[in-house]
Order: sequence, then C-alpha cells, then structure tokens
Amino acid sequence: MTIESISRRQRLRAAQRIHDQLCGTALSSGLVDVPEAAWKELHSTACRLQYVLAREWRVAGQQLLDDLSYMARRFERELITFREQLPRSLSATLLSTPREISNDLLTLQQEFDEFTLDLRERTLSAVTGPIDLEGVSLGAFRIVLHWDLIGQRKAYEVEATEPNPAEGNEEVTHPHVRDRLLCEGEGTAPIRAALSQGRLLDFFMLVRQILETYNADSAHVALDRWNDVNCCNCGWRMPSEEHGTCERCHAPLCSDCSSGCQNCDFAVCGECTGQCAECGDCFCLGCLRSTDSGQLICTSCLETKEEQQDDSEDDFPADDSSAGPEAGQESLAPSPLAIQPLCMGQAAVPA
Amino acid sequence: MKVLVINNHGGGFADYVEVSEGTTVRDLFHREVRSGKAEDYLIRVNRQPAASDQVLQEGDRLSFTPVKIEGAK
Repeated sequence: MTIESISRRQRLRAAQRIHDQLCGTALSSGLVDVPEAAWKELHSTACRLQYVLAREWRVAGQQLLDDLSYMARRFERELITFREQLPRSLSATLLSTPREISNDLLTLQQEFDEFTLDLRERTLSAVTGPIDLEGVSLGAFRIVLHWDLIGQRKAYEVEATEPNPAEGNEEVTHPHVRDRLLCEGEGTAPIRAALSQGRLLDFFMLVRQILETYNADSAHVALDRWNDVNCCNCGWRMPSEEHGTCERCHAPLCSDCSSGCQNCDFAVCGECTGQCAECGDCFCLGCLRSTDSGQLICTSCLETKEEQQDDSEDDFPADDSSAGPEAGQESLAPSPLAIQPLCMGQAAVPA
Repeated sequence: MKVLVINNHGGGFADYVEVSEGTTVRDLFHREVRSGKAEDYLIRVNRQPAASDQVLQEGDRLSFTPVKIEGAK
C-alpha cells in the first residue's frame, strides 16, 4: 500500500507503533557505547610490541609497530565519532514524538518516487532513483526498514530493483552492498543515531546518499572492474573484453590456465583437459576415450593398442570364438560399448 | 530562541541550540559545520530544502546531510 492511499489515521497509527518500539528498546543507551574493543586491541598490541622489543626481535617489532599505528588511527576515529555522538545535554529530548515521525513519513512520500508502508509487516520501504556511478548503471534500490528490528540488529536491507551485479559476484549489486547489506562506512554513526531517535527521513536520506557515493578505496568490487570476469580455473578477474574462453565449455579462461590439446589444438580449461594414460600428453576431453577400466587414452594410443591387439589375435587365433580376454588383459575391442568419447560435463568413472 | 539542529556528518549529532533573533540558515551552518562547504550538504528547515538566507524561527528543525557519504566493504 503506498502512503498516498494511507489515511492520516493510519499514518499516525504507524508513527505511534514506531515510537513505542523505540521507547521499548532503550536506544539512548546505545549512544554512549565507548569504543572498548578498539582500545583493548590497541592495548594488547602495545603490550606485544613491548615484549618483542625487550627481546630485540626487530623484524617482528616492525610489523607490530605498523599494526599499532593502524590501530591507533582506528581508535582515534572511533573516539572522535563517540565524542561527536554525545548529546550536548541530558535535558534534550532526543526521541522523536509520534507526530514528528508522522511528519517524516509524509515528507518521505515527497522525497522518494515510491514509498510504501506495511503495518502488518512493520516495514517502511523507499525506492531510490536510478543510480549511475562512474559510468556504471546500477539501477534503482529499494531500502526496506523493519522498524521492529531497530536497536536489535541490522534493521534494514538494500535491494536492487533491476540488479546489475558485478560479473561473477551476483550478491554484489553495488560497490558497498553485498547480500542486500549496506556497508555504511562514514554513515555508520549518523544512521545509528537517526534510527535510535526515530528520525526516519534522515535515515532514508543517509542511506540514499551512501548509495549515490562511490568509495573506490573500500569497495566490495571496484567499479573499473565491475564487468570483469573470473577465470574458471584460478579465479583471477580479467577485463570482460580481453579474456579468452575454453573452446569446449566456453567458460572464461586466463592465458595462464589455458592449455592446448595435443590433437585438435583447442585451448581448454583444466576441467576439460585430461592426460592420456599411455603417452602422458594432455588432450581435451573430446580427444580422449575412456576404457572399461576408467583410464583415459588418446586416439593415437588407442589405435596403436588396437593394432597390437589385432596382431596378437592374428598370431594366436582363438579356438573358441566365444572366449573372452585373458585375466588381466585390458579389453580394448573396438566395441562402441567398451570405449566411449567423454562428453562435456561427464567424468570418467571406473568400470 | 531555540532550534533543533541535526548534523548528519560524523556522529550524527542532534540537539537543541540557542540562536539569536535574525540568525540565518547560513549563519547556523557555519557555526555547526565549521569545516564544511554549504554546497556539499543537503540543508533543510522543517524537512524542506531551504535557502541559505532564510531567517530561522523559534522551534525550527534544521538538518545538514552530506551529499557524499562514503560507504565501505
């Protein structure tokens, strides 16, 4: 149901429920979370550095010193965020009233082309405009807020309405979205504050601004490699217009992993390559045959074996034509049932 | 008079502040977001986009939201 079709009474009812939810979760306590974990890690690393320096382990010491510098910067950032998050006074009423929440809902309708409110599911959702970053069209995103989850765990998700995911990473629909979870980065503290205070307009605007921003230094998949493909053998990401493919299964293949068939010269991937049990050369699976014993054998070696077998039969004609091969002798009779070419997607199975 | 200021930069500070009569949006922006440029922010008064020379009224709700907010991975 769009908010346009929602009566004022229904909107106020939703606002009241959201307000009750926020009151119940005692979110204001979350605003004064001291960055304890970062401090403990910093302290622990400092202690380890003192330990190795006392023993004059200089190489290990340098690594720890670098770690310590990084952790100090992180602690500093978290401490600044902590300070900025502190309210100026305890007398200030931070939590939005039901009327203010209702006003936010009303403004969200004007702000987003599509805004929906579901009282039963306890969700609010807004759809952004189409997002283009660095020439890559990522489409629109639906931001879905589950208000009953505010203050407990990740209360919202971000879903691409017409996904253009990174090649080979279907779950990455945006440089900062994986599995419908937005990695908020700089927006972490303001989003948390907005949700805890019931400032829903701010929340949706913050998420939208993050989606409209690209941080090349910290992306799940960089946009200049968005359409790159993974080599099916080693996983290396290659530009989409430059990579090769396996000539049998057509999977993307890098030059390092490509091997040529000794018979047909096809460039094939590891999955489509086999080694002849007789000569040891590599062939594509189309040029190998499987024996009854499950061995792969190339056509050249197969012909040689067949010739040898024919010569053997000519030298010692069998008295009884119904007798089978002697024990231990491999059956390589040119029967279509005994030897079959391997097809794509099939593996040799021992007889 | 008092107005509510919401700074969605950094920690997402929100609180009531005292301003004198005749204070404009621009004045308060420079006071609250010292290192920022106004064009890098979405500035709203009572949830609606506002002109920089708009004079503030008692009980106004101002919000400053950065246009660019860098996500992570």
